[in-house]
Amino acid sequence: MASNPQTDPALEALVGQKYRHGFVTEIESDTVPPGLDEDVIRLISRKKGEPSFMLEWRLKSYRHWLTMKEPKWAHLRISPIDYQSISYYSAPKSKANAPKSLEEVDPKLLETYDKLGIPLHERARLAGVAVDAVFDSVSVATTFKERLSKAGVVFCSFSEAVLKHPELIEKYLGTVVPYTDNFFATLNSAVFTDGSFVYVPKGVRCPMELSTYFRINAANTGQFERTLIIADEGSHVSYLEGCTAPMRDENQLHAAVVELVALENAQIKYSTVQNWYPGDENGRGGIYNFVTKRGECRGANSRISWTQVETGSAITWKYPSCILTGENSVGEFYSVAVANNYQQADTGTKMIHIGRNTRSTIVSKGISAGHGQNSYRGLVKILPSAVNARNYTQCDSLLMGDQCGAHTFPYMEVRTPTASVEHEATTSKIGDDQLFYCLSRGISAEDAVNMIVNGFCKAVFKELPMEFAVEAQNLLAVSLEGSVG
Amino acid sequence: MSAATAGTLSPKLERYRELFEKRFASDALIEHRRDAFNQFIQAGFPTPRDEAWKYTNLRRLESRDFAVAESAPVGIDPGQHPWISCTANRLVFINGHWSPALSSMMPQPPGATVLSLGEWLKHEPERAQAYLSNSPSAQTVFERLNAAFAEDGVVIDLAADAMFDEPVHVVHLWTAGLQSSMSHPRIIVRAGRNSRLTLIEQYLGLGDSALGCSEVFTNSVVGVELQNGAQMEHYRLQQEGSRTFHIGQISVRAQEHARYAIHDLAFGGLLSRLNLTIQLQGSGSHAELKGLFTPDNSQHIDTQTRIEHIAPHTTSEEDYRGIAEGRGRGVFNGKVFVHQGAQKTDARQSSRNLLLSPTAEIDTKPELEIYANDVKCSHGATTGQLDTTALFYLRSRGISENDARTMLIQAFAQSIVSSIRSPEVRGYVETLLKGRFSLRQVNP
Repeated sequence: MASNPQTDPALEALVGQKYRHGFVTEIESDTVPPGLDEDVIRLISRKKGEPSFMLEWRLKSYRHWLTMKEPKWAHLRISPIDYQSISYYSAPKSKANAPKSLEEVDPKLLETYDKLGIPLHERARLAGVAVDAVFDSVSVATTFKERLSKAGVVFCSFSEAVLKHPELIEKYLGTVVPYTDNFFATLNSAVFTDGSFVYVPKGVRCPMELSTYFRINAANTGQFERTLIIADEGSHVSYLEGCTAPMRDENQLHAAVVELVALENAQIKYSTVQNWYPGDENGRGGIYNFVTKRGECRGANSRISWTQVETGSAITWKYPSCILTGENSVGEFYSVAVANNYQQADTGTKMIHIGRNTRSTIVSKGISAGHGQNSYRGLVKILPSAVNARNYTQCDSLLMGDQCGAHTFPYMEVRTPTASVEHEATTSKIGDDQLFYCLSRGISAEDAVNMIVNGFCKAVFKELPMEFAVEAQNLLAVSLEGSVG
Repeated sequence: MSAATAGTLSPKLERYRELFEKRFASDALIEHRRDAFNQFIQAGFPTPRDEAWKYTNLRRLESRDFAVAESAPVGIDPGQHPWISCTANRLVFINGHWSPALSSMMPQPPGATVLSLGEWLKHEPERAQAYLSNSPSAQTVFERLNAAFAEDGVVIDLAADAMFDEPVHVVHLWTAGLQSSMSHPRIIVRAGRNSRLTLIEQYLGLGDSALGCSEVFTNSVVGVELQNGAQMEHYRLQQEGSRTFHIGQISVRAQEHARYAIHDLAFGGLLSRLNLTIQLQGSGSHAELKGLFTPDNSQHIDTQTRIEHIAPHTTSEEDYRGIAEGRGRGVFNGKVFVHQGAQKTDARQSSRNLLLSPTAEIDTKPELEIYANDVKCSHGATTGQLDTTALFYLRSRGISENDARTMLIQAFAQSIVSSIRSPEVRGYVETLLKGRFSLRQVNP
């Protein structure tokens, strides 16, 4: 070895990089005082002008939630959460006269997006992406509505969908993630404030990639988004989700729910780049990201594909899953998860094979550095009805530094003799010989590590839409460079 | 946990308490036993809500009433025994009690001691207990139950450099026609520096087909301590009868450059579970695990292995294979745990399973938990049916479907069997598997 990269001052500086997106926009928020009871839920529902079935559903969820306990099985250390100290509703003040177009949007908000490198109109036009920007809990700007509505695609905020398409909401809400599902999903069902809704009608190929930028802003506001995507027969949609959050010291709870429904011959591709505030180098602060994501391939020949790049959050608890009900349906999961400093990630997927000839692929890449703890937890379940089902799972871990941990907890439950299930996992560090090879060819240690890490993640990155792939690589570079030990 | 709260015990645990008090009230070691027993009562039987018991439900075991097994009048013709016959050092236990008449030992090599734990406890309870207390304390519920009820077993003590030329063969046999009983055998191995030992641990049930055969419960505990450079080869054959609950624990601690190799062959029992824990405490220590389990009919066979790499430069290799037929259910949970500081660990694990019937099930969970960075760890798991191209290949050469399937199943098992170094054991297992897989129609 020419030098030990861990002690290289240039690399130290890189590791020491502060969170780039850390700032708080001072906007007056229309915030409900902290605490949770039935009155708060009624208030949320009333503020959003929801039909009565929604309120009933929320109350039902809340009552069920009261009987539940926080899950303890994950390989995570979570400091106790006081659910009564969270404010469950926060909307930007200018909500009263909601903006009809970009010009009407609070300029301070737009500035925030600028700082994040998301010039909404610019980016939207250049990239051909419709952006439904969720700022805290209420959508404030939606673009490209016209082009989408010409194609018949409904892409709007969840609250808008509740008012405009109550029949779709009533039909599909909670059918993939029932309100009784788990502690955090149930909490979300009771108190969710907004999110995105997509409906792609029969035979329509969505003309552009749909995208939502989430951002947690007002301090002490838990975010409870709810996303519902329905791809009707023969339709196709690709959805991008990306997140950044400002820096602060207090842990914030984020418990979102995402439900996907793919009917016959439909395809849904859901991509996430998650870069929420991970806490500082001593593990203070950071977002708690407890998300329930699940898709159901309800119709024959349908396909759901999850791709995620998880670099942020102090704690990630997230298992995007596929229920493969339809014959010949396909579920895919591609993931890169990074745990640096004191980050903890317990993430993976569930593939439930019910229909005949269903197939699933899982590719998971975990990177641990600093004191990070990264766990892959996955379930592949083949029910007796899933004749000829196939699963292939690969999960690899890369370790950087002797204080971090990488763990794998795969569950495989097979009840069909014609099924074939394969699982492979490896764990290792970046080889000294690999580094030496690069260094001896004049590549700096930093570039070499970058190259090796990008190579390690390539199988996942190539599944990301173009602009996300670039963003993901940059994110990874910022999160990791110099961490090699 | 069905934990007993505030003094009120479930009727089943109460029944265990009655048995315990009746049996051991005047036992010389009642205090030690009671400590363990109280811990058992505190925890109660595990339920599927406990992660380690997710796939194995003990409701049936818990609901049964077992008496403490009494030694049976020896009614076994030594010429007609079902165990491995050509071993020279053999200790036979009938219904959990040592049978001197059926046992035979070669003169023991210098520095080596092999004795019946029951005899020792009878004659020198204090010394025996002192020796037992030096062993690592019981961790799991069933180890505690064993510590409370253990009456017999084997103690093998090897001084430095001592070695047995011949394997030590320990046989546990349930006789037919006794009432529902339980036994809690214990095997303790202490192997000094550079000593060597081959241990064959065999569990058998007689009178499987006999009418009125009652349910029995075996709860065995094996503790192994390997000093620097000690080597042990361990063969475990679980061939209990079809109405037996079998719970086994093996815990191994290996010091520097010690080597431990086990072949875990689980064929019998109604509900069978093995917890195998290996701690590689000294650098350069090595563990090798090979396993084969073959649940059929409505058998449930569960294997849990945990390999802890505690010291640097430790290595482990694990290869488990399962063949599930009928309504059988096979469970494998293998964990490799690399402690912080255990650099240069090299751990390989593989779990391969054949699922041959639509009503059978395989649940496998190969886990890695790693807290060191300079390691090489990998695991692989597969579950599937017989390779259709291989079947086609054989059939196109004029081999009947049935023969082709039998060949492939045997070949699948053979990779575990062929690595058995002891010729006595290998020959015995090969015959056993041949009988199991070739003398009957395999359902397509």
